[in-house]
Amino acid sequence: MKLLQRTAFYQALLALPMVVIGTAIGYGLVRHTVTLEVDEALEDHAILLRERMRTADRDLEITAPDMLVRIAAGTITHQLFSDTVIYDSLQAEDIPWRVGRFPATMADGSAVTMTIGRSQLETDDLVFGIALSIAAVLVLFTLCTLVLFRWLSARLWRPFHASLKAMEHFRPDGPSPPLAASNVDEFTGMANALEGMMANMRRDFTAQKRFTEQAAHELRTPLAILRGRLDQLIQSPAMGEREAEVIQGMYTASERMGRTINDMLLLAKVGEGGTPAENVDWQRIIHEELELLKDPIAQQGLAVQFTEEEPCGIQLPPMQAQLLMSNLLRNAVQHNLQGGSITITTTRDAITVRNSGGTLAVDPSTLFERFAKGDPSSSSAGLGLSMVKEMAERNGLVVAYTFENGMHVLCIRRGEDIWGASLDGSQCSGR
Amino acid sequence: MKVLLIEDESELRRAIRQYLQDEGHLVESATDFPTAMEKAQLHSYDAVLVDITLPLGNGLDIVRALRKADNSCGIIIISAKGSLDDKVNGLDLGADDYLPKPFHLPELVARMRALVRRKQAKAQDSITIGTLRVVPDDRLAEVQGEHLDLTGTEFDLLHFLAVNKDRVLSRSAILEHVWGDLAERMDRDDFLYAHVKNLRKKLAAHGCDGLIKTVYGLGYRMSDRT
Repeated sequence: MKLLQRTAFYQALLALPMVVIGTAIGYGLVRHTVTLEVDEALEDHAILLRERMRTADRDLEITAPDMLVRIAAGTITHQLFSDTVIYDSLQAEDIPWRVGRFPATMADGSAVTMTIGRSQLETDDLVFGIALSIAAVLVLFTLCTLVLFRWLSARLWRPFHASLKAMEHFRPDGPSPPLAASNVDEFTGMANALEGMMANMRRDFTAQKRFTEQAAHELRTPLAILRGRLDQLIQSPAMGEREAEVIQGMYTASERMGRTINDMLLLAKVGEGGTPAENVDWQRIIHEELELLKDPIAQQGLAVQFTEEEPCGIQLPPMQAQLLMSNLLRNAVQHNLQGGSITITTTRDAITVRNSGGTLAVDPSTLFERFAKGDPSSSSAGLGLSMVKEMAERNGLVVAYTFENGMHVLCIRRGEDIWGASLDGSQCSGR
Repeated sequence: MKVLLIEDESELRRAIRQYLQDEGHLVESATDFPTAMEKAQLHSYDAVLVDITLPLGNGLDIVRALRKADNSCGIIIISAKGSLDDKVNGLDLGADDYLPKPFHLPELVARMRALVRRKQAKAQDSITIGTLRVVPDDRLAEVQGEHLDLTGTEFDLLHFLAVNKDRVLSRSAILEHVWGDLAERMDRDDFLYAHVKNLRKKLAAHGCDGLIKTVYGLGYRMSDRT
């Protein structure tokens, strides 16, 4: 629910009891005032009657549709007012009356009780009318306030919404989104804080990028010298077996170092982010990568099967899609058995790569960690799968590994739960 | 072939220059941007090898200047940056090839040859070693006019050896040239050995045995000398 809607909702919720209570209090007050007035009128009437009783006889009783005076024997100590209901034969219904009992003395000196009543039919209508007016005014007032407040809120929050919209398009390698100016202290504060954070991110991004580039240069240049010198050295005709072995060792080490540097730089590059994800033609990429791998696949006599159950809708930056698939497939080839198999399946939300292979030498939970190697003597640095995980997580995907029926299963899946990238393979099985 | 080598790293510059000179090329070198620019504009070369990161300037500006002056020399960028942007940028400016560092010197030689061959548009330019003739443009190899039936990989291998004839090629250099970074995924030595064996068999069938020599523990060399 949007902020403005939520505010309006709470205001309406709060206004409802206020209208009800306000009306009730208004009604009560009016009712009280009217009753007091009626009682006073009855009292005045009683005083007048007492005057007449001193001179006249007891023939004072009246019964009119809206007025009643009755004299009865008996005494009361002080006057009493009460509400009652009297059946009216004319209207054929019960009608509320206000009745007062007063002590009085007849001309002959006998004490009597004088009862004076008045129909409340008219006053009740009046009171209800007034209460209704109060309610109407309150409701109108509340509605006006709600509308006004909504308009005002929208106006006040405008810089916030504008800034929010601008922030959504922020990229560390792009220009700063313009944040809306505001004379509200809190918004100005927020805009300043955000601008500071964005500047920091951009600085970090640039610094990391520069570091990566410099590291690449500084590491690759000496490696190039080493290789060049080795290439020169082996031209020497006076090369014995022993020397050859030493040089071959240096070649192998230099290659291994070159690969590690490349992988680390790639990993750093993936970590930089910045490229938006888009739709990927996975079928084409998988075919391309398989084509590239055809020699090692043939060498190991692997049976490869690719099934596109549904076109896969997983989105990634194009470069990363290629890298991800390449790493997954190379992993499947490298850790396979002679004459083993690779099965690739895509569904709308997942890519699953299964390969035959021996049992895992490392703890499955560390499989995606950097520099995790299944085979300690392997010349690869063990960055391939951590790169897969990095790319997946950056794009809201889940990577899962499981071992079933002698097959290693790696699955990339679209998931709501970005942070729950567990090793639980259950989400991938059944496919 | 006259080559201008623009590289600020002295050790690497020496290694490249010596290797190319041993190949029989005439190599001039420049260590910084102004010198490189001057040489590039004053003299003409068959090939220019240029590093991007240079003291006092950017190698890409030299590429731009050469192409602006309609210089048709072959240009190879040799860079340690190795980013795709860099590569695309360099090729867009008119460089003919981009070789990321670290590279093997035989690879550089192969790329230079290919480049110059393309530039000079020599029809049916071929490499001849003894009775073997390799025609790179047609991806064709023949012995005394008889066509050799080779797979793509075998041709790449043969061509790489031929272009670097009389040179010892390390297994690393060969694997990287033919299979790129895939080489690491394979049981490399067996793999290379199997392909070389097949190639030798096919050559021998045409009476061309002994061309590919094993350099014990290091790699291979193609030569018609003994």
